Amino acid sequence: MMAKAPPYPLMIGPIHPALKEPTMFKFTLEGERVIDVDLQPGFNHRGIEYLGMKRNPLQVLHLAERVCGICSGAHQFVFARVVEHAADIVSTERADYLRVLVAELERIHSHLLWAGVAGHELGFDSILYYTWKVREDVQDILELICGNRVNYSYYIFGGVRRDVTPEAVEKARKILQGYRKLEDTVLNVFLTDPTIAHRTRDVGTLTYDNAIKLCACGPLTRSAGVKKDVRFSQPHAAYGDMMGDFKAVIPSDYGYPNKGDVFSQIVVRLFEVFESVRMCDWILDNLPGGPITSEPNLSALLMAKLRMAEGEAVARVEAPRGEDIHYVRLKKGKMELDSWKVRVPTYGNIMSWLTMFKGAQIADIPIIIASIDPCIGCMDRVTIIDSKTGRERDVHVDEIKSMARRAERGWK
Amino acid sequence: MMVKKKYLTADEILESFAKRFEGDLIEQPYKKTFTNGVKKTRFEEIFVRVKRERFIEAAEHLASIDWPHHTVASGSDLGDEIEILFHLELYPESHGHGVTVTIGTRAPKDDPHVPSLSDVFPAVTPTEREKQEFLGISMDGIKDNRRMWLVHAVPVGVYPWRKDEYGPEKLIRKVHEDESGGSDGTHPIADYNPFPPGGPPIVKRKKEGGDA
Repeated sequence: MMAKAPPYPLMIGPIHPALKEPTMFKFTLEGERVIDVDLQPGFNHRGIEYLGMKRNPLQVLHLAERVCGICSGAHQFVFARVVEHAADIVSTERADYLRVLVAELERIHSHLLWAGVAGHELGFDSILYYTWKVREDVQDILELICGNRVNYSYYIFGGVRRDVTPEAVEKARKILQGYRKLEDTVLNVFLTDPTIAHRTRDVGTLTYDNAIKLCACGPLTRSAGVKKDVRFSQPHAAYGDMMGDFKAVIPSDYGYPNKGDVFSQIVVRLFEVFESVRMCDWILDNLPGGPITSEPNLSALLMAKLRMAEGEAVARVEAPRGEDIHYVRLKKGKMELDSWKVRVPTYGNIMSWLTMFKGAQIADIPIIIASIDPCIGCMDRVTIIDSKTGRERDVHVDEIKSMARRAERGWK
Repeated sequence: MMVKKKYLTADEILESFAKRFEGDLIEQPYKKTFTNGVKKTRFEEIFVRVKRERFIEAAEHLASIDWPHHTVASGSDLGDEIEILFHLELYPESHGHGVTVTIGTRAPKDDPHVPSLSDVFPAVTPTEREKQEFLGISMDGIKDNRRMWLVHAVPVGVYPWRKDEYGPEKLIRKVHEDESGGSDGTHPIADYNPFPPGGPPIVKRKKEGGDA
């Protein structure tokens, strides 16, 4: 065997056991240490923004939800808001509260899902089974309120689609009460277990300066001690009313250092689960009365308001993984969106993510990848198009792998 | 850490832009105000559009107010021009003082380039690469010019968000209009070989990023 001089290249992706979704990392290694990394996304680009520019806002409302399967509610929430901003529609008070209720329930389920994945990447699969089991309870509340477990179809321009019944409120309270007990189990396992501490402390560190300079978002940036949280910096919906009782979660508020490593991210996400449970209780206690939507007649809304609206707007929502932003421009007399841009949290964290790998060991790559809770399906949005025939087609995984191999070997 | 910070209001920020860039504004900067919830909490958004010659200066002006949180750049095909907007937030760590600021510029389609903001905000590179690929505009001074988001099989000269002849319409296969259905081997896709002799096509970007 001829030994090659370092640095060595290492490709992880587009399809790899350490990744749940297709994306490609090109690492440069010196021994076991990562000295550089490059990211090649785009393997799953679905063209959602292009599709949106061919459809009217009511249709896009459902398309937006399908940007992501986990934070589907956040995308619908932010799209409903951005169109409201562009077309001067105001949501009702009760709807503002119900919107936040579903958004926070979604955060609980997303963070628990992430905790399971993190456990799995660390080789601690009993955590995966436990957290996903308790996650079923919050899915039950979501189903009770929205009628669906995954794509909720709950948000609509001007409000929400369905009201909560007193029975649903009672049941939700009961289940939320159960979540408070999790503090003993989930927190205990994640924060005191020596194996988890060993695999996550000082691994994949994002410094405070890099978090600020590279504009990281979500639990990642908060784990480095940066209090960025759209819920509190620009209090929309019911968040403005709960400003006095809640604030952005950073590890130092709970007695842990703001290190920006994987462990700090665990701390932020787990305490956010309990913060969200408190928020849901607060919403149920303070739910105002009144109508659930200001625009009950959808066809009038579409034909009279949205079609005749002229303007642009930006709206932002704190999705479980970080801030989610949509930009929309509406043109008078045109049904379709004139322009639409979706920015998902993973997209905003690319630059910070890449700095986290530098200096890490190969064995830490999977947990660093998983640590920011990446959602490649959200980030990539176009279909594969053949340049020879100009036709779209799906490419089989084997072909992509073999393409990757060819690229890796520098074949022409 | 407990130093009281002075937060500029949306009106003050607007005024500072209007004053400094007077004569070089594409349109008068404006703000939108929204209220939500029972307490009717207010938050604001600002839109500023300056000519591309002074675009970097506009970004520096924003950064001199306070270090903003950069989120994303969006882009639109306006017909004769291409518009690039950068969406940022001032005071993202504050408790209720955040202001969304959008700074934008335009370039004519026959000279499609705008300055890159990567010297001011290091985080913009991925989103600037996306604008180059999707709108066929080049960002002068971009830190990394490689293709990122579109697979290499999409030919250079096709830009998915363009609404003119450079748009992706000619690449779209409409299954409902396709009589063969693509399953009997007569559809052109059946002849597609992803591994032609010599390997898949390698796409190199022209420096201008232009289409002409």
